Amino acid sequence: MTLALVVAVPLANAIAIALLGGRLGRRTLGIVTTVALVLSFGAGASMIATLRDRPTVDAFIATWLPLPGADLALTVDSAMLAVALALSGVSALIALYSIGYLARDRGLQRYFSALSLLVAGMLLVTLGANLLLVVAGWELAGAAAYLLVGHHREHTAAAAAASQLFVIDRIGDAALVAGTLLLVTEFHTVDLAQLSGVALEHGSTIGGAPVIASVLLLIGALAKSAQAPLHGWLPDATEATTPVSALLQTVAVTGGVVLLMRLRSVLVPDVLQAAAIIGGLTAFGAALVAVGERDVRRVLAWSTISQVGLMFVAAGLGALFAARFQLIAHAVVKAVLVLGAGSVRRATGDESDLARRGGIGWRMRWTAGAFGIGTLALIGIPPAAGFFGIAAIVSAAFSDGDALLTALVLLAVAASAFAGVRLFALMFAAPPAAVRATDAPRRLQDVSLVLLAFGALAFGAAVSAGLLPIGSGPADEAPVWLLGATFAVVLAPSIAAWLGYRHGLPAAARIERAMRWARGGLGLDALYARAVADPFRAVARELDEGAERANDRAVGGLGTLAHRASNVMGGVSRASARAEQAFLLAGAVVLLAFWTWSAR
Amino acid sequence: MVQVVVLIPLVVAVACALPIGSLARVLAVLSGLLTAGCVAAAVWLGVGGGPVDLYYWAAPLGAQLAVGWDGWSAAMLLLSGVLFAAGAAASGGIVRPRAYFALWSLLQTAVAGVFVSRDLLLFFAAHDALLVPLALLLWGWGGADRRAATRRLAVMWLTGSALLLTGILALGVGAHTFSFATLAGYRLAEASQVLLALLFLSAFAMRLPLFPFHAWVARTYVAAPAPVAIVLGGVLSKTAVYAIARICLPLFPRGMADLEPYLLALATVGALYGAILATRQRDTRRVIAYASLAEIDLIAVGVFLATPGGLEGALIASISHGLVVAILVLLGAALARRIGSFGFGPGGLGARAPVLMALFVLAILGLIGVPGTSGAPGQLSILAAAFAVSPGIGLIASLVPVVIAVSGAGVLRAVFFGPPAVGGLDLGWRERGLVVALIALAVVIGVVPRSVGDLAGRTGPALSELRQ
Repeated sequence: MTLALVVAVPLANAIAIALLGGRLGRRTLGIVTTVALVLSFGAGASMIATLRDRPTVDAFIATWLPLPGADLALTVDSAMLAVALALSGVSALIALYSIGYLARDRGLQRYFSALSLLVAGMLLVTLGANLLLVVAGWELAGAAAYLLVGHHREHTAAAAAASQLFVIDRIGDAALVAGTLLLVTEFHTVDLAQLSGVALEHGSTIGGAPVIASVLLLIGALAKSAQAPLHGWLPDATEATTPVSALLQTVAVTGGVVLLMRLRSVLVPDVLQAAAIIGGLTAFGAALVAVGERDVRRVLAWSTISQVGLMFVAAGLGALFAARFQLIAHAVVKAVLVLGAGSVRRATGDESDLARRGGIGWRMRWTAGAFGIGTLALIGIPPAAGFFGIAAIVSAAFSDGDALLTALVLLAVAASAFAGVRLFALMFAAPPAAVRATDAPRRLQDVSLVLLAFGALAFGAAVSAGLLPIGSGPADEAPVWLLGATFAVVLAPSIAAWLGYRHGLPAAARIERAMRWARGGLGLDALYARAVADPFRAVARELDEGAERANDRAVGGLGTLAHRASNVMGGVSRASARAEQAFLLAGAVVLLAFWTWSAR
Repeated sequence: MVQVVVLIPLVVAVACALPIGSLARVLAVLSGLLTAGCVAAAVWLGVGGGPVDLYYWAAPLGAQLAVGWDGWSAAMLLLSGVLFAAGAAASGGIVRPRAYFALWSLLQTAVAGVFVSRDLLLFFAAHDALLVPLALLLWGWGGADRRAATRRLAVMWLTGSALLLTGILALGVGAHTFSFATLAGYRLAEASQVLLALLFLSAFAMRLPLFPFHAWVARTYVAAPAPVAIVLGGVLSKTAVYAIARICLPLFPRGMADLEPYLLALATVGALYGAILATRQRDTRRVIAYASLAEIDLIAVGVFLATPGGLEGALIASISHGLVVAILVLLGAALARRIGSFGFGPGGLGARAPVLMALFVLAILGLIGVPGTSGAPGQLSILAAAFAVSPGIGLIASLVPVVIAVSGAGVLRAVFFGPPAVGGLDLGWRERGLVVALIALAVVIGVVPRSVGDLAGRTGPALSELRQ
């Protein structure tokens, strides 16, 4: 029953706040939500010991839909428990940060309710015992994300981003639902444990349906985790307020990775391979865009897309430890970076253009320190967390023997290191511009930042030392030269970026100019508009003005015809259109014809 | 017991014609609630339900006044009771209230008649009788385009009815009975099954409406006063769903099986078509009309599949769609009162009317079928049934909610987001109470969809026995 609490507490909190939160003060709303998320975290943590003794813990709550296996039930193993703990822990700290950051905001009832709902949804995705519960959690999280991104309703760009997110989310949902239902028709159950069993038995190589289902599930995962070509919503969603961005980039975006990990043995091997390659390409491409972007928030969003791409590589290759480690480490690290960047942005008068702001030096000591640790952890400088994840993924790709994938991962790691250091240097160390940081009280914000930064610093070491039970992975057996090479690949561009941007060298300006092409998402945004949105609108217009009008006119014509016919038959009675008479007559003829025909 | 659901609104209709002033609206609300309450109580206690043969009303033909209900009709009677009560409650400040509520109750009587008839001729009488009060309500209380809309509706529905009557006579006169139960025992030749199914379906396709027989939908939704739009989309379309499931499928099993590919194609295409057209509309009533067309054709997919999952999904989705349409129409009307037109207005209403916005978001989520709302279980069952029969149909059908989401997100964005609007108050308590009650019902169905399935199973034959 402890397991049920992990999901139920945030869900109950979301509902309670939505219904009764109107009476609570702003601060109380935030505190209640934070406490609920901490409780969920605590309930999860209390199960660590139980899971040492047995492989899984299951909780059956009630029956649900009239489909085989579709009950309200949860299941967890130690691997997924670690993910769930990361999700609830990070979101608790984000909620804590929101109390300070949004202290003057209106509509906090809506905000905290949606935040809780999003976390509950993602926990359901992680812990639900069957695919339909995963779908349910997925869609709840999507709806909550829509509300959160649209939180500042007067902000037009956020409204556009919210609409875009809503639609892309629905594409992912539809693909996920369709894939799930195809699996049901094939395997007659939606229960994940049974599905894995059946799929293993059949070798998951039978027929076309599992392949189509796998492709659909992959599309769903791509949409949820903002992977190419369904990545566009995440950079745009940074228009939302900072804690929302942080929540999307740490918690919501992991949905696809979690799905891939949980469906590892159900999906067809070729599709998993495709997931790895798409992840590698996305990771590299998005890191390049991150190098070119000038808006702090978008740099971080593209970096998130890139990092999640690396998780896709790991999950696709079956390096589940690497994927899990990267997911957890990234959640902590990216929370530090997005929240830290938000604090800085707030302090500098909502200026998010890196070139116009310039470095603010060490004025915001705590923020800068946390952000620095976050950057080290992101790009993968040991002993911070990132390196272990990156090393595990590189060695997984390498031991898979896929040269292309290994190269993509290394390129992505290098580009992302450059982008990460560039961001830090431009934000804190570069020559200052006109905008100066103001001093505003931000105690709660700094508390959560420091806690998160500590997590980012200690997590890798704790796992390596075996303190956290999330397993061990290929990095432990990787050859030392590969680790060394990875470290070199991280270090070289980091140093280059630091030297270039700290002092504003001309070489850095040249790189800035050279990378300008990457800013529009490598042109994919424009391509998407031209290849999908425009044709859809054209089809809709064509149907509206063509088929619909033709149909309307045809029926109108028939009506007039009937009117005239009845006038002819009724002689003078023009007043009423006796269509029924005409058709009754026709019907009688048909009836007679039918009788004579059937009598023969 | 069964007759009560017909008699209550009939009595109210007569009472409303008397000079009782503003009591008419109260009576109309009560009659809806009372009907729903009677059905709920009867189902709960397990009384009533069986067919009641009163007397032969056209003895030489073999027609009877036979009434009764089964799971599906009980569910539909509940829905119609709730929606007629909601519609009457939303009819405040209407002109000529006595005539309006008399017609309103007559409409309710006829609808109840459709759901309880156990004899084809009686069914036809109720099925066509409901057009009279409906047309008069449209004609007398509708908006600017009401004359053309009424004419269009009448022409299309009567065309279908004429063909239906032809079919009923052809079947019943030959068999010397019009009783559902007896006719279901007959095994007609395959060719006549197809022909008769086509004749019957022509009426039900108009009424659903099944693509491409939807030319009346947009006009009627625009012209109809909000309460009439609620029952039009929420209840009247469901009479056709019910009729296909309860009459066409058991009477013409082989004919329907032969027609199934074509019907499925029409319904799937229609669902996508309606959803795409909804994205083009700039009038909330037309958005609701086309989104509703899409949802109803999706329900039709479930019925045409005629598998247990498809039928159960269609039943749950019918109820959900009825509630969601009612909520959307009420919210659309509330919106129009604030903006001054049914267009999307200048935007930014979210800042002024957060409650209206929250309810609107919930309604759209229900329309799309996000889990936790009533839209999800029905839609999921229908899609699952579709995938089991044909993955192609399933794939196309699963695009429908995506496209509806495009129009839903578009409406929300245009109306509620943007720089804060100058005017516009939030929902008052009266407007709020009605919508919140309906949303609460929708959420209950979303969380416990088995309640509907159990209700359907409690009375009459299980859904799976519809088609032997």
